[in-house]
Amino acid sequence: MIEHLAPELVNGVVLGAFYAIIAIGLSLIMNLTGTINLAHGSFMTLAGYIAFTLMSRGTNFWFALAAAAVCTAVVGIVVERLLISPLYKRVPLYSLLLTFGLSLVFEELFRLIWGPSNVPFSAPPELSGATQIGDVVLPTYRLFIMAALVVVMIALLLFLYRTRLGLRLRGAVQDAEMLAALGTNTQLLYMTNFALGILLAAIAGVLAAGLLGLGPTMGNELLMPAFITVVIGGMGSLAGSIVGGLLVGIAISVTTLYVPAASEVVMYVLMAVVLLIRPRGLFGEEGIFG
Amino acid sequence: MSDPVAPPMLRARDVALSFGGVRAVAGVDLDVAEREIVAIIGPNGAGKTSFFNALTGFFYPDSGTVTLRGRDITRLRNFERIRLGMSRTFQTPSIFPELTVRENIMMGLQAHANLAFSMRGLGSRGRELAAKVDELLDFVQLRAQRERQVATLSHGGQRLVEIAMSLSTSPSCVLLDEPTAGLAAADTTRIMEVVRDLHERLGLTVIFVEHNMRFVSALAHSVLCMNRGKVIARGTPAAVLSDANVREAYLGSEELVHV
Amino acid sequence: MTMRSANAVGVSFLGVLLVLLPVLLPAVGLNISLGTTVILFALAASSVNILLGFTGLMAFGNAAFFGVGAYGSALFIADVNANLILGLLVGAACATLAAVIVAPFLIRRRGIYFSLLTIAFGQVFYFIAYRWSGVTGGEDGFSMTKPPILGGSTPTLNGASYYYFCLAIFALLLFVLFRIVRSPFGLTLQGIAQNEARVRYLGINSDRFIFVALVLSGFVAGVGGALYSVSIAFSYPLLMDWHQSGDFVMMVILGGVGTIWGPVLGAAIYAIAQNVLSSFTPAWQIIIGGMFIFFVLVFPKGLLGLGEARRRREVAAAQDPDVAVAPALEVGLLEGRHP
Repeated sequence: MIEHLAPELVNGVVLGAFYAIIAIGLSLIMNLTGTINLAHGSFMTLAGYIAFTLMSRGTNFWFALAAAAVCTAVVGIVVERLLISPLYKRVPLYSLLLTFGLSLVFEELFRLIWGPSNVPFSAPPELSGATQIGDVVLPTYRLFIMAALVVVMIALLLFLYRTRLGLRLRGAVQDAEMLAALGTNTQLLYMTNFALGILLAAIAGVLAAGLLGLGPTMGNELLMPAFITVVIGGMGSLAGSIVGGLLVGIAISVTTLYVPAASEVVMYVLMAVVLLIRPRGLFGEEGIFG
Repeated sequence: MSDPVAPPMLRARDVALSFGGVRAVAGVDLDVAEREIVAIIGPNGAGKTSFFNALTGFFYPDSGTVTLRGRDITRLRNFERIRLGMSRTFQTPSIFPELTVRENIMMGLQAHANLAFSMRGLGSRGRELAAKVDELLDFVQLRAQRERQVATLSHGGQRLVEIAMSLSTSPSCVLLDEPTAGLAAADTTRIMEVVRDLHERLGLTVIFVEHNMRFVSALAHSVLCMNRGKVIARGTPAAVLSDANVREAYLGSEELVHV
Repeated sequence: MTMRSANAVGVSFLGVLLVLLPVLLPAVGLNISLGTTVILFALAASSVNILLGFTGLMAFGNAAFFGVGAYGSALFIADVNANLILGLLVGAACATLAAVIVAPFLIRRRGIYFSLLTIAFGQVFYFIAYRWSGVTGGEDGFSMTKPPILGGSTPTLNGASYYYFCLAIFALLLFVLFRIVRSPFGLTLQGIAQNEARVRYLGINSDRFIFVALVLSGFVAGVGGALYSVSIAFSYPLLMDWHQSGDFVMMVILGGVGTIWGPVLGAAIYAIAQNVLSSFTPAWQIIIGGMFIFFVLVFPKGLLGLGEARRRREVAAAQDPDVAVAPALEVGLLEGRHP
């Protein structure tokens, strides 16, 4: 029995970890500046394509992963400074429209540059195949993803809770006005925050490409469940994104095993139930960001 | 002034409110009689506006009770308190900037007349309400500005519109949060006249938070002084303003500013 | 010429244009059905405008109402062999019901959390259409034959006649919206958009008004959708997707937020751009996306909104340009902590 359940559970945790990482990135960006980043999926896909291009020129997976993450974060910075920051003081409500327009542009650019269908992107040979843990045989790449995402999450938490910059970021979420009064460069914080969110998306994007296949809409397919995760976990809560993501991922995977047709429904049912019982989401703060 | 036997219009008992570990309001009592004018004073950070917020439903107190004409309103939502006869203005005038003065006042009037949900024009009721708008505008002497967009009015003009709006729901008790803040002398005098009229012509109970002591002395029947969330003096304006504790509280905060 | 009379002239021009469309479109080599699409998308955009333009709520899930109306009428007409009018009524009713179901979840939130929830719930409906393939035809969609207008041997509207049918309903709804905006209800919605806290401090339960606005929005979108599935004789899940919702919102922004004719103009610009551009270049989506970005940054009030009232946020945000203006997230922030 465990042999059947274990791979599905691993799938669930892997999926959940993806949703969590993406949801955390979304949350970071939402919490600080109120921007719903509908282009988040595009950034994931962009990172995938950059990694693909680098690897098809001969670089190894690890370098491609790092380079794609950095490049995508840089693109994110440019986008944030040029397009999104003007809206902070003007019409913050419209920032999601801007990211929406951006997602359309990105999607078309991907199609033009890399074609409308999936490009061949596979996990590096050292990570392919299967690993045996006790009685259970699990795909190596999935184990790697799980480990990688856990490492990323720990690194993120360390950054947010143990570094000065992280402290300032969290402080800005609580009270940007006070920080500005204290002389902090809030614009720099907004930029860093956005870049951080995009960095997370980029890492998730490259990892996902090896798992789901890389096409112009890859990122968007992961985006909606990530939004549901944010709703379930609670807006303004990083813990909520993690717990929510794992909850959604495992729920979907386990349901796929037993009731395949209902596999994605469970995500929406979960959302409805959580909203009815705890309208703020599982860990949602009472009207306070972060 | 006020009938000692009649029940208070507004009663606050042991109201306490904390924000993230800071006790903004630390157990405040207040009785306001019908038709009384009460001033709440105190240095910055004393908890005056927080207390106001607890009275008007902007925050719910952690403990204590607030009753309006005998009815417990401690946990009522803000719009419910307004319907029971309370109304309020804010430190920064809370108005509808893109609407005209007339529309700003109409908002409360139509709601009070239970017409806010109507999806067609108002017809004869509309004319009635329009007359009431003019009545209120005359009260604050803003009739000439009726069709102007409120965002284009001066700060003093916006305050007057806000007061007119607070009257549009036919309140029995009006709470004004620093009505003279940011006003020049001429505007302050005008607000003084309006507040006096609220009491004398309309028979309303008025509670206000203020820093302007001239305003307080001229209008208030009784004064409450707060410092650090507690009441440190209460009584007539003369008594409170000459109270040693009160002077120290203000002097103390002034010294902080100078250093 | 004042802004008002300029608008009046522009609107009259638009009106005349709409009446003459079935003649003008073929003259430039376009199909009349494009005109029908413009009208029906304009209804969807108007439904967004009720929430965004009048009430200040960024609703990003109205395609779901549009789609529910579409599937509602299509499935009813196909299953029961109903006539057009009945199908329209059923489709609109389904969409209104969807709004009634979803509204209680939405009215406790404001700002971006509200938007997030509209996105999430929009996806619920998309997902249902996609997965419940036994009923909806799933990914492949659902074809139907156009029904006669009143059943039996009454004529089946097509092309120009269907266009005028839609135009009549559209004109009626637009007129109703015009009256509503100028009514006490409409004024209250505008109050909510500009200063919801003050609305509540005037004794008004703003939640109730937002509920009604949501239901009204669902109804208008549902009518558009119900007519649309018949127009193209087809229903498909992507009608409900967040991309479609975003397109509807953009139509409002392009044309003019908070104006009656803005959504119409926006729908026209969008539909024509989509149809004309796509025949010139496969990269038309970049142009449309770029146009969206441009308008959001430069003309957020839209073309017809240029002369309208100043942005309320500018009034508030003038205080500190370094601080991102974060709107209230939920009703709780309008009245402090809940007990």
